[in-house]
This record gives sequence, C-alpha cells and structure tokens, in this order.
Amino acid sequence: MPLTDVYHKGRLETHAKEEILEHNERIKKLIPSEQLLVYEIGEGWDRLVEFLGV
Amino acid sequence: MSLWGALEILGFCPAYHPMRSPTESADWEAWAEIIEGLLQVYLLYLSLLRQRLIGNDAPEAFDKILQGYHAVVDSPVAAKAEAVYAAYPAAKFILVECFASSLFENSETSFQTTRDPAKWERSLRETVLKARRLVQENGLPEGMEGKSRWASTYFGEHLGTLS
Repeated sequence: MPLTDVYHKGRLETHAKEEILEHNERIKKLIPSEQLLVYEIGEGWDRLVEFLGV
Repeated sequence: MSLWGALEILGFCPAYHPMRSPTESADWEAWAEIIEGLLQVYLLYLSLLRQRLIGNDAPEAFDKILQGYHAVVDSPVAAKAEAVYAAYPAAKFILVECFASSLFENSETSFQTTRDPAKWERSLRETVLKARRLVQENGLPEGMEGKSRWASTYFGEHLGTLS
C-alpha cells in the first residue's frame, strides 16, 4: 500500500476533495497558529514575505 | 512547485523539492526509511498481529536528507507533518490551502492559480494517480529500478514486501 493510500486511507481515488480538506484541518490543529501561514498561491508576496521575515 | 520557487526567490535557497532531488542521491533510501515508519504504524492500527516495527522518523532521519536546505515542500514531508514538527519545533509552516470557493473569482488578473478542492482533485488525477497507474501497469521507468524501495512506498507493492 503506497504512502498516499495510507495517509489518505485509500480514499484518494474516490474522495480526494474530502481528503485534502481533512489534511488542511489536521495541519491547522498540529501547528501553533503563530508558526503557521495559511497561504493561497496567487494571492501575492505580501503575507509570505511578512511571515518569513525577509 | 510555485511555493518552492517563491521560497528560493526569497532567499531560502536551496529549498528541497522532492522532484528536484538528484536521482543518484541517497535520499531515496532515506525517505523510504522515514515513510516505512508511517506505513507500519498504519499496519499496526489495522491489525495487532503485525508487531514488527520498522522505519524511523526520528529527527535525525530528516536531518540526514535535509541538511544544507533552508526549506522543504511537498510530499513526503506533508504526509509526515507530525514527525516534521517534532523534528523542527521552531520551524515555520506554510499550508497552501485549497479553499472551498475561490477568493479570486472576481479578480481581473489573467492567471488563475487558486486551487479549490475540485481543482486539486483534477490535478491529482493528472499527476500522482496517473503515474501510479502507469507504474502498476508497466513497471518502473528506466533508471528507477534501483530505487524500488522508495518507489514501492509511492507506487505500491509495499505491503507485499513487509508481510
């Protein structure tokens, strides 16, 4: 059983949308909010630059 | 890939991208060691009959691969987030979220990179799932045969080698 199947409980072929949302929630629960930037590709550099302190 | 490019531009150079790691690198074996830990945990969860604990996702296992890099993106670290956080508790994490609806729906910009879950699913079908099917049907591509331990963690047949 490949990694992707294990991590996504074998649901990647059938429930990919649900699985990615679950992954998002899992990361948000795991990482303290001050250490986590929830970012959207295409939103621009500002928040990324500020978060990384560069 | 976009996030990887952005991090390098911002000075986190080099940043580790799994698709950019050299094919001759020992990374393949090292990732396999880390990933097998996850597989085994799942096996134990599924069946208490399997007692053999292999795989190693201790902090040093990540250092072995990521030494010299200033950032890392994509799978397999995404699927090992707990272990990565344990290894690097002070690290900054970026979640490229797939929103249920696009924030950029009304944007006049010509590019559209926002990923909603449906788009992510489509992309997944075109890449990872497609690659997996090809490997399952035709075997590993030329040059990857020697990396079969790593490949099995991505493309399957792993249970066969463990049981």
